[in-house]
Amino acid sequence: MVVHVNRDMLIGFCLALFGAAIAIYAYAKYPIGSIFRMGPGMFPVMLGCASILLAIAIALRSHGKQGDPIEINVRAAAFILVALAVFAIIIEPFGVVPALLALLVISSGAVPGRTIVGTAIFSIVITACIVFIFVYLMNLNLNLFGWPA
Amino acid sequence: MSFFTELYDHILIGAGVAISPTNLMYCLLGVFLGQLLGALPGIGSLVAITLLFPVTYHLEPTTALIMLAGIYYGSAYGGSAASILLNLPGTPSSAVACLDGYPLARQGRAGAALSMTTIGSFVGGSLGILLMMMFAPTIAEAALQFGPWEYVSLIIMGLMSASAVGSDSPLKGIAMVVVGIFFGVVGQDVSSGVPRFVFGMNDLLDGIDLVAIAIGLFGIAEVITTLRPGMTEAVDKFSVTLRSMIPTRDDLRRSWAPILRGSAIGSFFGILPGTGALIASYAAYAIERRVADDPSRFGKGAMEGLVSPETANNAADQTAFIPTMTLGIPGSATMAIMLGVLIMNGITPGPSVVAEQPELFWGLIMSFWIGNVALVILNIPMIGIWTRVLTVPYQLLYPIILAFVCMGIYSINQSSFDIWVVFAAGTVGYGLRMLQLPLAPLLLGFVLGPMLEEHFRRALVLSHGDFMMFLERPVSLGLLIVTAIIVGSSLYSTYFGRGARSALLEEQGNGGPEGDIRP
Repeated sequence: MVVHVNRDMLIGFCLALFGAAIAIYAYAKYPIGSIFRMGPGMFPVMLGCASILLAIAIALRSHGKQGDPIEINVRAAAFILVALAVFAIIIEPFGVVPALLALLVISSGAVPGRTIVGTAIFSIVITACIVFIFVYLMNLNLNLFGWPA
Repeated sequence: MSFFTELYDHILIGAGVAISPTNLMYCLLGVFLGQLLGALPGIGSLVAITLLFPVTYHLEPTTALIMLAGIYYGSAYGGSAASILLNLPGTPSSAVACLDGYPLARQGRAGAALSMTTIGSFVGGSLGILLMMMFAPTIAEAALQFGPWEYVSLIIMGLMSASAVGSDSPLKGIAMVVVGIFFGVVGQDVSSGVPRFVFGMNDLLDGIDLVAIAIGLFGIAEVITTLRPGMTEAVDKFSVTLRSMIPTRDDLRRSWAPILRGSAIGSFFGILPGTGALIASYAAYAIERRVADDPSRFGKGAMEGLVSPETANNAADQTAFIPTMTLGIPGSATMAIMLGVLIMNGITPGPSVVAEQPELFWGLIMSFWIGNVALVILNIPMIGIWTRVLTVPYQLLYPIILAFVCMGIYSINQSSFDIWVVFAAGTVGYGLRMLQLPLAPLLLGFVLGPMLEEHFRRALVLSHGDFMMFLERPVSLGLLIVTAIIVGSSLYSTYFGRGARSALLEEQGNGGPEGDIRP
């Protein structure tokens, strides 16, 4: 997916938003203290202000530049990130083996052109190897198969 | 004279530690794995260290450090193999090796190219180790006098160097540092006990896990970026025989000066906090071109252009340990991970560690010698294995990487929250890569930010709010002046001249690593 955008303006915008958010949140929620005895909120506020200044500088420098195309590999990003999320969700209730299998199968989808059988065999073999390395070679005590209680 | 007797004592202590069977085994294991992973395109030293970090988690701190260090400089040796044979850098600092290494391979000289880079890497690494042996204790002693003002200036110097030097836009680098510092702030404030930006998630009270954020930002984002459509192009296979690895006299004649220059350049950039092997390799290449009799040979297989950057990156990798171990200030993102590992093992690197734990410090240094020698020996017969390893298609590799990453991270705390951190960091990392923002300053900000805040607060309390103290104390003033020079000269070269790096990238034309990675 190709997106045309003035990258630096986008960066400036996001950075300014980020800086404002943390500065305002920190100012409201955490005691600031004085310059002699800085409270926990002082540093985040300083960071926020610095971000905003940098954002303005970056955006100004890019004014008038036309958008460069950015190529985003949506498929790869989606499959890999979803695979990670599924791993995180599955591992505690269901154990290591199902989580690994899910991770390997889903992430294989990031590159088009994989066969189901090939993916399945690959996933099982790799899962076995990893379980061997982590549980037996490294003697870690891991929950291999769990069932929701 | 007493300096040398002290040094001799230290060497003996260190040698005793380094030769112990456990340490020896893990050192060799580390350099072997480091070289292997460094050779694989898409896996640099940072990913290699985070992948193998769980293995070291259950080891003694000294052993863990020796192994991790072995992985670190081992990957600097291996990275050039992929650059030469595949025109794809194995590690970011080996990207420059593609420029002259790949043409050499196409001329049938892959063997000589590989052996010359090994020689250069060894010399560079050795110089780095020698510098460390000579100067680290002195620096550590001087650092014992440091107060918070000096640390603040030092950290600022490191962060500014990291964002300004060699980057296309120092402003963006500094912005990333600020973002990184923010992520470092998340967690319970040490001085006041107030949880900051935790949003009720108790897992965040200790802060965001360093290894998780590093692997997400660099490893996961790297994997997603590498999976470009059209990756499955055929790879030229170059035959590399033992005979072909013997360099000609011409090669040696051309190379000895670049090797010496590269060592010096690399050592310099390695010691400077914030800059490391990547900058060193680019600078070495640029300087070689400038001093060459015939610059037009570069890009077409000039041995000098290959050997100098590869020497520089090894030297930089060795000397990068100096600020990390003596001052506790990591010079690069990878060093930040090492620092994190040490802290996890209960050791806080800094001036006191050199004096109070000589076995750790000198044992580490002596293990560097063992590791570097082992790498030279490994490189010669193992060349056949490397070339075969490099033909593993990335489609098979990346799920394995992901599985190792997840298992590794999970095995540290057995908490799925850490995986979510990897997920979030991966998403953010990919987004930043798409926006072409540099990631390494972010990680450095993350690690150094809390230190900066702590020292800054303490400095102000001690001097009763007097900011001028930063300028009145000589060391602090000196560091700030150096920072100003570094930032000033890089701003100058960015906006008024062409940075060596952009010039190089334009001339290279074809693919190299995308975005500004710099782990």
